[in-house]
This record gives sequence, structure tokens and C-alpha cells, in this order.
Amino acid sequence: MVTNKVGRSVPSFIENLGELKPYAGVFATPPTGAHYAPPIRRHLGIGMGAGKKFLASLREAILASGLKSGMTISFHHHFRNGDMLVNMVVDEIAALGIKDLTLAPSSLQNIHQALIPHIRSGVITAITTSGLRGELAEVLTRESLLKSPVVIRSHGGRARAIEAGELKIDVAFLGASSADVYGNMNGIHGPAACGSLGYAMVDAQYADFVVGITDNIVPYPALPISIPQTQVDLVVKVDKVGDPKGIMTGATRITRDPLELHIAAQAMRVIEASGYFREGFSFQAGTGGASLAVAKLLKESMAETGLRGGFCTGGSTGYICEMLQEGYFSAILDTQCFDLAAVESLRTNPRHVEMSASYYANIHAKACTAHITDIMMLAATEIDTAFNVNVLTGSDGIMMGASGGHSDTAAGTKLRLVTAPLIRGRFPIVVDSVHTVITPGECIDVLVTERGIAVNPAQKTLKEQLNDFGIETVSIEELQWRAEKLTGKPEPLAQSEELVALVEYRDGTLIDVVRRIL
Amino acid sequence: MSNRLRRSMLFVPGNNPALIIDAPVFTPDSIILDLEDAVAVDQKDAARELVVSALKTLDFGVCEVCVRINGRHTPFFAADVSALVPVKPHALRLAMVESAEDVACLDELLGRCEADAGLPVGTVKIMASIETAKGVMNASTIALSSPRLVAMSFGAEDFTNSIQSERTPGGHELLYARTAVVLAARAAGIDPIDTVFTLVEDDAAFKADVRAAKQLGFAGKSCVHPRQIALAHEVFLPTPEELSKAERVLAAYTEALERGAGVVAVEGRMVDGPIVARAQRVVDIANASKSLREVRAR
Amino acid sequence: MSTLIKRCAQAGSFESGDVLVHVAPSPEKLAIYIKSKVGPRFSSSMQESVRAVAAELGVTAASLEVVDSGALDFVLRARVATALRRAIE
Repeated sequence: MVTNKVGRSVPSFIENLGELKPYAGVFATPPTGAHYAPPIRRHLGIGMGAGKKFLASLREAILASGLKSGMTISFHHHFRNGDMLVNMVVDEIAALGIKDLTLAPSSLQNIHQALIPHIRSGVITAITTSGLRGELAEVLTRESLLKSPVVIRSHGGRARAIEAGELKIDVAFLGASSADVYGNMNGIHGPAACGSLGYAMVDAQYADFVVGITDNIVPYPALPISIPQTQVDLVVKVDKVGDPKGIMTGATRITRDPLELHIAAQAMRVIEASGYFREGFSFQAGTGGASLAVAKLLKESMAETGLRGGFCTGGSTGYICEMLQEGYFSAILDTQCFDLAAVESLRTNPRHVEMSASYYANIHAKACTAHITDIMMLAATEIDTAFNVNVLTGSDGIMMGASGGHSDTAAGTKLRLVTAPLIRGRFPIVVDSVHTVITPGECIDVLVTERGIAVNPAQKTLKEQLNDFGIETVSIEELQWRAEKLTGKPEPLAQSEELVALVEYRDGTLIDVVRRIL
Repeated sequence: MSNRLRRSMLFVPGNNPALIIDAPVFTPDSIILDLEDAVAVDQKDAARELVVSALKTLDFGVCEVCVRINGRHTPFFAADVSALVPVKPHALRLAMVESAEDVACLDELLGRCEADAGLPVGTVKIMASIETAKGVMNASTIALSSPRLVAMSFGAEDFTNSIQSERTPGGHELLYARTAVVLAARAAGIDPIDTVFTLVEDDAAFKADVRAAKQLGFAGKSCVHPRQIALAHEVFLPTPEELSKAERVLAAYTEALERGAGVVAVEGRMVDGPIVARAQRVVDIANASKSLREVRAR
Repeated sequence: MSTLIKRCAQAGSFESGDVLVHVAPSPEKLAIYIKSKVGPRFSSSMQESVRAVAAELGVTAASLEVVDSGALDFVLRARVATALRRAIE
């Protein structure tokens, strides 16, 4: 074990994973190597007609892909908790007697608890993902079931690893809500519409073998083309790729919770004082109650003053799309749609476009939006007195969230605001030391809670700007004290020395680990 | 003459832990922890215990903390008062006050409890709520009935029942009663507080209602939801006179500190810690509102 | 002379931020069972608070079951006091 730049003890070698480098700073570790390229092969469909590319069953597709034990398979998570694909494919793979696989989805949800028996039986022996939730996450945090710890990667980090060949995908199983028999795919049309396929694009480009799976075959060519036929080896039709109810809602509502609205109002004042709220500003709303409410406050202010924004990035919701439609923003660069209103906007508004996870957040992309954005709203399960942020594990040390785009955007955005209630379920948000570091403190500018605002001491100018504006700021230690005065100090977690997860920073170095919870 | 702002008085159900904890976050001028209408009869003891525990432990910041106790003729009245006095709420709010005698009764019980608790007599203040025709008719004597009285509020729901009428959007049926409460309170030098507005979703209508109340001379508004607080404050911005008085208090205090004077007097009245703090707050509020307006205008 | 628990009683609720406290008579000692929605990290301090409130009321023998939904200490103390008082009367 070595100590990295955020003071965390991380391993330098793990069996089955190889040598590992410790986190050395936000942009400290230079890239090496070249882009990975999948092998060129004579296509099954050539000279034999369309029938061979379009297969009748998942089973046939798995056999045709050449999938063998020990290989790596990938999926995207655009069907969220309505996904039926991952479970279906792994069931089929297990039935074929294939095992010892590395599972490499872009993320995992509650619904993937169905994988637990396959993990116990050795069908899946390694996992890399952005997030873990529900029972699957609980089991993987409490038991050492895999041959190596789970590798947690950010959205940008996963794209980087795939492009660099560090995460070599043997077979990508990519769901689409619409596809044609030659493999053009999108998430816009069809009963399981999910919008942007941003997290699938990198897999499609770099995986050795790509299987497109849909429940909705359309006449050739399937337009719009989010994933082109030139990247897809096989197409399969199944009854259902996902449950629409679990995929998304009709429209994301802005919170009415008074506490979240209060936090949003505070955050808005910080944004106003920061100097970044100016003509052409770019914005990422993030997820979570307060951040969309901030979008509403931005709109109200912009309506009054006539200020107009530039692009919005990250994921899209109906509210942001409406702002685009009404001219408040100039474009949306979208990796993920969160509701049907956003899907509709993607379909109809030419200024709303899909982008891949690499375009969004890959540190080694020639440009990514995470490095260009002005204002970013971030969440936190915990934040410590060095401003390090945790979004992966909860107060019980169990994995319940995802690295997501957090560390990617925090590295490059100009104003990084974390909004959170100071206390959540009796636990203070501000702690001595976060259980898991996802984003290093030097990437965080302000913490906005309902009981006070703290500015990172490294941001002296910002602090002065806020104070000049009439915003009272306190030290983060003061916020911790305010929280503990209400809650008391929790007892330390009981954990073993065994590692159940490694947290890979966006550049491939190790920023932290997750230990098994007793 | 009151030195405390009471532009917003937020009602908080006394048996609801989460709402009690969050109340100060919204910075109402006053918080009213409710042991009366918001609490079921079989939970009166639980609510009382919870409010006492909260008063003992929590820091409510700059908010004035009041407790609306059960009425004089209920079995809970005496237990509420004797349990609360030792934990020193700023004031007790008595509902359905109809006569000076109602207030006198509470005043006397408070005196006994304060003595038992070793507190100076007069520590706990009283707010009287006028909610019936009889109460309105007796408003002026009620307003003068105790040196503990700091505010008198008007409750429209029960009032319209007592005059056998119904509430209308225009509020015509309330005009005399509201004015009577304002006059009685102002004449006695205490704060008149207007009734609640229950259409929580309608911000515009709420603000119109508060503007009407301000115009009638009310010092503040009872609020039933946190979102009403900011709106009420917008309407009840400190007046230029309040602002200049606060600035004079602060100037005198600063000057006295520099002189090394032990006691500060402003216009013949002694000024100490809490009064200086409140003056600072009035100035801060005016400044904060000013800078927000300036930013919006850019 | 310790205070006698005459009957079963309870106070509080399952609402977020509250506790439900159930008191029952017990022959000899103070038995405290705590089940918390937020895990074990406050269980020692919760035990201490329950004991302290029981002691304040002079209760040395009772069975107390606490189901916690993330309540702060002052809420726990209030609910324990109410449940005990209801069981004493």
C-alpha cells in the first residue's frame, strides 16, 4: 500500500488487475499509449445477405460472438432501473455454461440484484462500473465474492480506459429502443425510449464485438443514427429491452420541499456573486432536488434581465429542454435523458444533440465539455474538512451511489458548487474524513447547506466576492460543528482491511478504496 | 415600543420533530411551536415534552421562540405553563382571548412558575390571540392587561364563525375586526399580527394579503408554510425610520465602545446586547435586500 | 424508592426524524432494545440517553424498546420521557 496525494492508502498491485498507480493530482499523471483498435474481421453478413446479421435469438448472438469464459462483457445504463437487458443476457450466458466473466457496464441499478446468484456461482468474477445500488451493492460491500475488488470508474474514466485499451471489451451488448437489421440504432423511438445513447457510444466504437439488442426493429435505415451500422456486428430482437416505467418519468418535477428550495435560493445567490453568471454562461444542472430548482431561479433572473446562456451539458431534463426551446440557452450537449420530455426535445430540437461519454468527460479527449463548463451543481453524501467529496458510499460504509460525472466535471468546471442538507438521516454531511474520496477537495469551490455556506480556503477571491455580495460564509469546520451540535458525533464504522472496491480517478490512478463492512 | 421584528411568525406543529428542527433555517422572525390546534388531544403530553426538550437543547438562532399553549379552560393549560417556564421560551401565545381576565390569569400563573423556577418575574412574555367577536370588542382592554403582553394577533377562521359569517376573498367581513386589533395593539405599544393565509400555493395572493395587512398597520403576518416567510419579509422591509433608528443605535454603541463607556444610551433609553444585535439585524436586512435589488437591476 | 411501571405504554411515531418508544413492566432491571433505521453508529449514545431519562424519572426496572427513524437526541429523550410517564400514571 502507498499513500496517495489525498492521503489515502491505496494498493500498488492487485492480483488479476496488475500494477496500479496512486492518484498524484488532478492533471498530474500524463497519458501514455495509443487508442485501442478492435480487430478487423470478415463480417458474417458479407455475401450472405442481411439474415445472418440479424439473428433470431440472444442465444445465437452470444454463440456467434465467440464469447468464452474469462472474457469481458459490457452494457450501458440508459434503461436505468427499467433495464431488462443485463439480467437477461447474463442468464443466457450462464445457461450456456460460460463463466469467469468480467462485467463492465457503465453503471448498475437496484434491478441488477438478480446478478447476485451469478456472482456467487462464478459466472461473474470481476466487475467494473460507475455505480452500485441496492442489494447488489450491499452484498458486494459486505462479502468478498469476486476474484478482485470492484473497479469504480467515473463516466469519463470509463471512456478513457476503454479508448486506451485498459478496459478491453470482448463483447458489448448494447440495448436500443430502435434498430434496423443492419445495426443502426437509437434511443429516441420505440416503447423503451431512453434518449441519448451517450454511454453506449464508446463501447460501440472500441469493443471487439458489438451486439445490438432491441425490441423495436424499424425499416432501414433507423433514423436518427446514434450508433452506426459500421460499428455493430449483430442485431437481435427480443420481446422487451426495458420497462418504460423504470426507465424514466414523463417529466422531472422541480422539488417543492422547502428545505431544498431554501438551499437552492442560497446557491443562486452564490452563483450571482461569483461573476460566472454572465452572457453566454454554460451550465450543468446535475441531479437532485436543489439543482433543478436552481435552474428555475436562473430562468427567473434571466427573464428579468435579458441575460442569455450558452450551452447546457451532462444529462437533460424537460425543464432544461424547455429553457433551450425558449431561447435561454443556445444548445444542449447530452449524454443522458432523464425524462420523456427530454427525449422529445432530442428528437425535435436541432440544438439538442447527443454526445458520447468521451466527448462529455474523458480527460484525454481532445476537448470534453467537463473542461469547458462554467457552472456545475454537484451532490455529496459526505464532504470532509479538506472539501473531499464522497458520492459512492453512505454513512454505513455501504456502496449506494455512483462516481458518475462528479470527478470529471469538478476537475474542469470553473465554479463547482456542492449543495446538500447539512444533516441527512441524523448524520452530518460534513465529516473529519470522508469514507470514500471520489472527488478531491482541490476541485470543490463552495459547499452550500441550509445552515451555512463554506468556501474552499484555496478560493480566496471567491470568498471575498461572496462576502462583498452580502453572503455570510463560515469555515467548513464551523459547519461541521453546527451539524455535530445537533446530531452528536457518530461512532466509527466497523470495517475490515479487505478491499471490496477500488476507486479509480478519471486518469486511471487510484484515489481511494472501499473496505469490506463487517 | 418593541425592538424586535415580528414580520413573520411561523407556525410549527409541536409534535413534529423534523419541522421543529428545520424551522430556524427559514429565519422567520418568530417561531410558534404549537401545542394547541396542531396537536391531537391524546398527544398533548407528547408534544409538550417534545417542545420542552427542543427548547432545552436546540439553538434557534435569532428567531423569537413562542409556544402556543392550550386554552385557559382546557385540562392542559396549567401543565403547559409549568413545564415551559423553566425552559424559558420568549413568549407564550394564548388562543381565544376574550377578556383582560384571560390574560391576567396567565400572567399570574407565569409569575408563580417563574418564582418556582428561580427566574425573574416577567421573563416570559405573552401574546394574545383575538379570535372571537367578544375578543374584538374587548381588544383595547386586553391590550393593556399585562406588562408581559408583546403582541396581539388576529385569527380570522374562528372569528368569522363567531360572527356567523364566512370568509370571502375580499375579506370585507374582517375589516373592522382587523382594524380594531391594530388600533388596540398600537395604542398599547405592542405588535399587531395578522391572521394566517392558507392558500399556500398562491404567492401573488399571499403577497397582496400581506400588503393589505401592512397598510392596515399590522407589524407582521402569521405563516403556515416556510415559503411564506421570504414573501412576508419582502413586504415588511424595515421602513426608513426603523432603518435610521437602527443605524443611530449602532453608531451610538460603536462610539460608546471607543470611549470605553460602560453604559450606552440612545435617545434616553438604555441599549444593551440584544438591542444592539437587533439593530444590526435591521441594518443587515435592509442592506441584503438592497444588494439583491441592485444585482437584479444590472 | 424507585418509580413503578404499572402498564405498557408507547410514544412517538415511525415518521422520519422520530422514534417510537414502547415501555413494558419488567421485574428486575432496565432492559433496552434499540433498532435504528440509520444503523449502529449512534447506538451507544442512544443507550446512554435512554438510561439517563429513566434515571431522571426514578425508573430502575422496565423494558424499553426503541424503534428509531433517524431521530436527534432531544427527540429520543422526549419520547422516552413521555412513554415512561404514560406507563407510570
